[in-house]
Amino acid sequence: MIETLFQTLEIVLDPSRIGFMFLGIMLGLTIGLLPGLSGTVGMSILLPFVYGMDPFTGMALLIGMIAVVHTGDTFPSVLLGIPGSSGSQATIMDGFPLAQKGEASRALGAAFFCSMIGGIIGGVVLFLVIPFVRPLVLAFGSPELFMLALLGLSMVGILSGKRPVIGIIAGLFGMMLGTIGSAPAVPEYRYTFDWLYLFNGIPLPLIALGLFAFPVLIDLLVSNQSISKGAKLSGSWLTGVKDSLSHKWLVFRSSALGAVTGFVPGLGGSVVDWLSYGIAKQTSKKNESFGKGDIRGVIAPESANNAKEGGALIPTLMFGIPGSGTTAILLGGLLLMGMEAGPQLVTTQLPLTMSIIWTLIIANIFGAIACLLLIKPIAKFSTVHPSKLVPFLAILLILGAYQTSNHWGDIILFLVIGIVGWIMKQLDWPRAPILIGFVLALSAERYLWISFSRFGLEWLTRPGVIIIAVLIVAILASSFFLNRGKKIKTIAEDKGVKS
Amino acid sequence: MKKSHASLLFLVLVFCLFFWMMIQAQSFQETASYFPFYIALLAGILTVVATIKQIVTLKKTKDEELFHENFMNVLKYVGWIVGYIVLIYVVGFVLASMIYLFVFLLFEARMSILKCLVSTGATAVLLIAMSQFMDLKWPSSLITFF
Amino acid sequence: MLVKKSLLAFFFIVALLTIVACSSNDGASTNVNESANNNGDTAFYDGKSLEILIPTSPGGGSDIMGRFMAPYLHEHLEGNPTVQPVNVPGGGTITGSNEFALMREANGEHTFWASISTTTAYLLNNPAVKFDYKEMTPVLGYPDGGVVYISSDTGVTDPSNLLEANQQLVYGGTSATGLPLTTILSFEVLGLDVDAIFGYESSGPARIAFEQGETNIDFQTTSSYLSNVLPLVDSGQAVPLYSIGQINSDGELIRDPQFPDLPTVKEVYEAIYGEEPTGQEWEAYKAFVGALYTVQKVLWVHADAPEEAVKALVVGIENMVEDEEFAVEGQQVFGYDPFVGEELQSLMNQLLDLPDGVQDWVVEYLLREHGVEL
Repeated sequence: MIETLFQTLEIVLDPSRIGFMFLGIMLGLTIGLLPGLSGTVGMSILLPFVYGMDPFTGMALLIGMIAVVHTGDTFPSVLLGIPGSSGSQATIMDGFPLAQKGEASRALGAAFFCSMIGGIIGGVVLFLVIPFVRPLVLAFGSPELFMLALLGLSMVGILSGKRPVIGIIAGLFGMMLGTIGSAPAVPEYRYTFDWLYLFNGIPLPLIALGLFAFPVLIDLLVSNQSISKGAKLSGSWLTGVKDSLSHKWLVFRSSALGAVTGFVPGLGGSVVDWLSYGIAKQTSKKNESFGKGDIRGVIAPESANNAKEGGALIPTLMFGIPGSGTTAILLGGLLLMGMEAGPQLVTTQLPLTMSIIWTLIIANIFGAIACLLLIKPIAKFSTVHPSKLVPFLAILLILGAYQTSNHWGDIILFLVIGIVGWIMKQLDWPRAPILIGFVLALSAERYLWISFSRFGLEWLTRPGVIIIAVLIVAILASSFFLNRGKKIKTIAEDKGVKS
Repeated sequence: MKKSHASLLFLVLVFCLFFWMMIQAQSFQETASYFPFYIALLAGILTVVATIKQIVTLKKTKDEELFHENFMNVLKYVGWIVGYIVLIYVVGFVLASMIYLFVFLLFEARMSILKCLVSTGATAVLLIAMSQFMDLKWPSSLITFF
Repeated sequence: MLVKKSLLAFFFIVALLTIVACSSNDGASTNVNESANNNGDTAFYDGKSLEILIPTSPGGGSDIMGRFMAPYLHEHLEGNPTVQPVNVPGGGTITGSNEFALMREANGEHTFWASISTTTAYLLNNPAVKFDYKEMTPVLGYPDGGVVYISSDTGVTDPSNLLEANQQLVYGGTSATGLPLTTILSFEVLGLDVDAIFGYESSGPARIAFEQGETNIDFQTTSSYLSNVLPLVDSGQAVPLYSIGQINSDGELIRDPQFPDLPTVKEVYEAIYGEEPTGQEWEAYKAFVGALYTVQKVLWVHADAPEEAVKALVVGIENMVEDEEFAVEGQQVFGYDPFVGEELQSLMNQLLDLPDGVQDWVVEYLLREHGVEL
């Protein structure tokens, strides 16, 4: 296997393939940079071009794009408090407060460095698990998947801050939003008002953009001062890199967590950044500063979200099950190049899988370098007066929102969710739980239903279920005791621009 | 409006929403109804708890913090965005964006006309280039010029 | 100052509008010229474009097929129109289907690439369906198929001892009204006692559930069976039972050309019971296999589109499927040989016209056996 790995490197380093990889990297960075555009958009753009390419070249292009979306998306999250894509929502929690203190360069430096390390670790994990991939994926039956969804939901407890009841209500509100649209298992359309647009449910990017981006548009203008509030841009990205190095253990375990969460099929990686953020907060010493601009709050999600891509490719390539919109299109791309996902990708087609691993690693390195070079010019955005920044953002966001399903409903929902999000922000409701509840609602419902109809009550005694249950209890209990133990309670509210 | 009153009002509204969703859930087929029903039920109960807590704190402390110090401004800026969206609906995305951008920069940012023109023009070029190279779709409108 | 600015803004907008209006006028006038040219004996699609409306998001099997044929259509249609695949996802393909029927002009420049979900919704009278296949003409159709297979843990080694499984049979799928419909109908025909569990996200996760032992009988469509299930068969974990089959022009169920060695449901029934299957469930099974699998992916054009457009499409597509390169490359994407021309048109008429009583019986069956209200 190692031998194949190095033989493949030669194929990957072929100049024409490197050229396509860089094309992919450039597109991926641009897509990440523009809020509202996700990897899915990038894939749809590239899909027509891969037709007829040889699989190695085509994969260099596609994987090059996928690998760096979560590197580029950090810019808007840190600088504007707007999620650049759904993978970098948790970065806002601490990245944006850092930018408000004028430390944007430091936050970005740490983020890109961690993205790079995370991406490399993701690639390495993909390589290491190839021999065990089958038993590993098969270890997760529906009951275990339900418990994993619960584990994700337990993050709501950590992210709710000083008002747990409100936090849980927000989480449940997100879950109710998640039930909108067609129900699993039966032809029933819930809360759709017979509006065909809602039959597929509300798209996740709209929830993220509405909750986080719309309030920024309004509050920036009302505050009438730039994001860095006149603070000089201090610190260089090197400080951020040093920060990451001094928290190398956190970088490493967040990356590992990201890669592992990525490969669990059916759960998707949409919550991996929150999971990583919540666990980092829970297990760090002196965690009062989380949510107020703690560099660890940037390191954890950024390491995880790039590592996730490596993990997420496992079910996609080896089982033909896409975990997200992006990987769904990747499968289509493979088909256009005359390949089919399946177990043969680790046997007869092993070189292709190896080339994917190499592409992941190389693209992550170059993506991070490109972003580091871009910090200086782009960080200046945080000093621009809002009235000169917001109109451009508004155009970009509405265009981005419309790309989610090319329907007027996208724009209307963006506005409605945005107004609700603004009110919540004004009343200090935590908004992160809504996203978590939304993402996990359908998986929780689906797997709970399947577990009961297949196993009755028996599934509760499965060892996997019990292990995850213990984990959940431990997390919740620790959050409870830590909160009680402290005089000053942790505030993990999503800090936005205060007007 | 005071912030604590606004909180209370919002909680009541949220409760109504959950209550409505709970009632609605009962009209679904059994398989599809249990999940939203119990989630809405739980959420409804918690909302009542939160409301009671809110009322208690409201009685105990005199909260003088306003919901928003500058609410008229908020409405104004929301109005800008709503207006922009309506404009998109009427004249199409590119034209609406150009008009919105130009007028906004002129009146809100108080930029000089030359600068406004240059910014608007550059944005338009960028938008068109983006839609060409990135295959972005534009919202449909009543009158689509391009 | 403000007044001055307002005035300028006003002029700016007026100027913009004028420029734009002029340019759009230009566009209109060239269009007139073009259509005037068309009155001669140039090809219908000369200088025109052809849209393929795909009712799913990009990347799925059905979308890939639509995208695959776009360049070939461009090449083979007389007049070489620009062929543009457009995705209109949502509503389980109903959004796109309705959009095609209600909002696309019947000018021959729009086609619609229907898939199995579209037809299932149509046949089961989904209330959201606002389109009618009777108002469309098919110009290209591709069959699909699939295989029902069972876990070797059940002790079943051959379709004929299917009833002697040593454990309760469990089947997992997305929804009784989706892809699994034909499969559960086949269980009903064979009199199998299968515990059907629905709610899986798609047939991929359902296959994983089979490998985990959560379920022990499963169905996968041809491409997925070939790439993902055959390895399981080779390693002895799974035993193929029967293919879903195809309906021939006499209305008989025949073997799937992709799986000539696998029996049909009819043969399995005969092996078990020693007689031919009969009854409502058998009629329903045959009707749904015909309508959903025998011709599954169909390129439709509005029935009231200009005659020369439909003709150009039919001829162009006939040429396309004879193109060697298309046939070879397309084998991987489509898996089956296509239906074209008049053969397709009469076949579709026949297949979509369900026998009396079948629809009512299926609706009643879904409610009785699976508690699903339609």
